[in-house]
Formats: sequence, C-alpha cells, structure tokens
Amino acid sequence: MRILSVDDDPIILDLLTQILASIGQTEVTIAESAAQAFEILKTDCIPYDCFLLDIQMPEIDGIQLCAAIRRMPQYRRTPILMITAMSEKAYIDKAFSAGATDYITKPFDVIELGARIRVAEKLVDAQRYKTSKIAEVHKQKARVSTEKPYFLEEKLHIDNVDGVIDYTALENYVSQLSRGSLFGSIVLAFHISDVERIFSGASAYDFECLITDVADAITQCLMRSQFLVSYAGNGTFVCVYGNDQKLLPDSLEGGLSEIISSMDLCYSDGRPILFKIVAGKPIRLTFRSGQKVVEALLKARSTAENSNVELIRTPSKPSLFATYLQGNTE
Amino acid sequence: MTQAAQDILQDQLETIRAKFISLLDDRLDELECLREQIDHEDQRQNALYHIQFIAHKIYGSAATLGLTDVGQSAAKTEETIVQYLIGIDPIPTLEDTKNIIDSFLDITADVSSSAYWQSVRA
Repeated sequence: MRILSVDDDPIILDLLTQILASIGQTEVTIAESAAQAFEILKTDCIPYDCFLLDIQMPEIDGIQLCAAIRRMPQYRRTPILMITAMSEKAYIDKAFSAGATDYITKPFDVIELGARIRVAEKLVDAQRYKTSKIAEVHKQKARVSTEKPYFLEEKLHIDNVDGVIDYTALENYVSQLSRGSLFGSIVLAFHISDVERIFSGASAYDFECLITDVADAITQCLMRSQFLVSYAGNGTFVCVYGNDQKLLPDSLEGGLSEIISSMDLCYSDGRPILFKIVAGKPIRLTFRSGQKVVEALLKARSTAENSNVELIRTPSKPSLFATYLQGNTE
Repeated sequence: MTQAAQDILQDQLETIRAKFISLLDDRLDELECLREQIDHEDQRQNALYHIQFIAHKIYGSAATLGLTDVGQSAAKTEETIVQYLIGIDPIPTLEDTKNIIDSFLDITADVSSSAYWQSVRA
C-alpha cells in the first residue's frame, strides 16, 4: 500500500515510518507540511492508497488538508487516517466532516496502529474490487440497465453532501470517542420503505441519485445541530446528532417529509419515484462507549427498518440535484 | 508481528529516541526563552501559545518512545495553558500555569542532561 504521511514533527514521521515498516508497509512517503504534501501529490504520477495526516500543523492544518485531498477526484474514497494527540470532540467532528475515515491517537500504540492500518488496507482492496465492477457495468450502459454493480445492502458512498460520511467512518467515529464526548447525543435512523421494489426497478444511477437526495434532505433537517449522517445500506440512513430539544423525531419527520416532497424525485425516464420514509426510535447515548455505541447504531437501524411510522410523498417533477447530476454525466 | 520484526523495531525506536532527546535539548532552549516572555504582559499570550504547541508535539512522541514522565508533564502543560487561555473551568491562575510550565521544564532538562551524561559515559 502506498502511504503518504504528513506531520510537521520529524520524530513522528520517523516513528510512523518505522512502525509501518515493522508491519510490512514499506512504501511510505513523508511530508513535513501540507504545502509539501500538495507538491508531492501534484508531481507524483502514481496515486497513493492511504493518507496519515497530523491534525495540528502550522499554516494549513490536517483538517484543511484532508478536505483538500477529498476534493481531488482520485482521492474521494481513499482512506484518510487522522493523527491526533487531541481528544476534544470538536476536532474529531471536524475531521470526520472533512472526510476522514478514521483517527489514530498519539502517543502511538504499535499494535493498535497496526490494526488500523490493516483495516485501511482492507478498505483499499474492497474499493479496488468495487471500482473494477463499476467499470464493468458502466461498459454495459448502466444508465438504462437495472443491473447494478452492488447489492441493496451495500453501504454506498455519498458525495458532495456536507456532514455525510461513510458508514465505516461513522462506526470509527462513535467507537473511539470517549464516553463523555458522546453523552446525550441521539442516534436516529430513517428507512426508505419498499426500497427493494425501487432498487429492482431503478438503474444504478437513479438509485444513487435517490440515496444522495434523501441524505441531502436529512442533513437539511439536522442543520441546526452538530451532526453526522451515514448511509447504512438497504435504504437506511443513520444519524448521530447533539441533544437538541427542538430536534425531536416528530418534528424531524415532518421537516424531512416536506423537504423530500419539494424535491419531487423521478427516475431518469421521468416516472416519479413513489416512496415512503419511516423513522426509527431515537436512542439517547448515555455512557455507552466502544462496541456498545456501534450496537446502538445497529439497534437504531433495526427500529427504522421495522417501523410503522410513515411519511408519504407524491412527487411530480425531477429533483434539481438529480437533474444537475444527469446534466454532468451526459 | 514476528519476534524478529519486534527486535528490529526496538532497535529503530532506540535510534529515534536518541534523535528525540537531541531535539529536546533544542526545544528546551526555546522553551526557556518563551518562559521568560511570560513575565512580560505584552508577550505573554504569544509565548503561552508557543509553549502549548511545543508541549503538544513533545506529548505526541514522548510516551511512544518510553519517556512517560516527559509525556505526562507535556500533556499537563498543554491542558493547563489551554484552560488558562480559553478560560475553561477550573481556570488556573497565572502563577499555577507558570508552576506547571516550570515543572515541565525541569523534567525536560533532567531527561536531556541524563541522556547527555549517559552518552559521555558511553
């Protein structure tokens, strides 16, 4: 795996290089600043598979660098692991919002660092496989075919919606934050009812537009709070947000219903996408930590997928977002 | 990780540790200079920011290299300065903050000088 490691402390760069070498990762390039990292990315022809970025650096910090790397088309899904000696939730939230996949705390635990790099390597392998499958299906004119390079359960990556991160990143986020940091936060899931029917009748393009539009609607509802949203596959979205009394599930449902109705989502051939969205039961995080919080995510998903609460919408025209995407790909 | 890989890593960490201690000596000079600036009100805030930044860096690598005391003292220094500058309860007094920094300087100087004498003996 080709790794670019960025830290303004030469000792940390030495440490990382040696620890990575001890676990078989020898293709490590180092940069002592964000500016040097940009230069390397500009001149290096072979893309990197993984980034390790220190958060606290002078001038351009690791969070800004992470966001900049994410804006590069070839690195939209490359694992970015943030390195931090800061445990404050605000920094971690900002890093994940900027597109980080995971974070590693300093001082390093050699075994834990090795484990996290191996997880990143698995992600890289999975993405390589997926990319080859997507290319294969694109060749078969995926825009009109209902054949897709993924299953309904796939936790699809969502681009260009602020506050939406990959599900693996959400799990990393909640499982590593200290108990106190998440205290009082709410986990709530939304599910597209009858998603199997939509999935089987939609092209990959239409389905991805739908998932992106619903994610966008959810973030609009949560805008007033500190939040992260993730697509968990199977038409289900999981949100983690601050304990804001005004963001009760009932009011969220109402808001979400209105926003989705105003989007008027359609298939590429103009047929309206008729669907209902159901909300699960909110789970308030008390002193859950680690695996318990990951279980809370699963429970939230399960309550949404088995919920009877329905928000019905009747669309009549294509969404601006879908039209925009369509225009860009044609 | 195999035993052989662990042994190689330990050797490499020893080399990095020596480099860290050498760098610590330079940082100590800078920290002492910044410590003096704290007593001048117009330079205080800037000096504290810089000390916090250096302490943060030292904390990040010290414990991984087995220098636990320096790492803990650096962490305490960083935390205290942040509390003082931002005003997080319990807000330390300037005297408390200076005492924590002085203690950090003492521990850093101890490590730096003991490493020096060890190298002389070797």
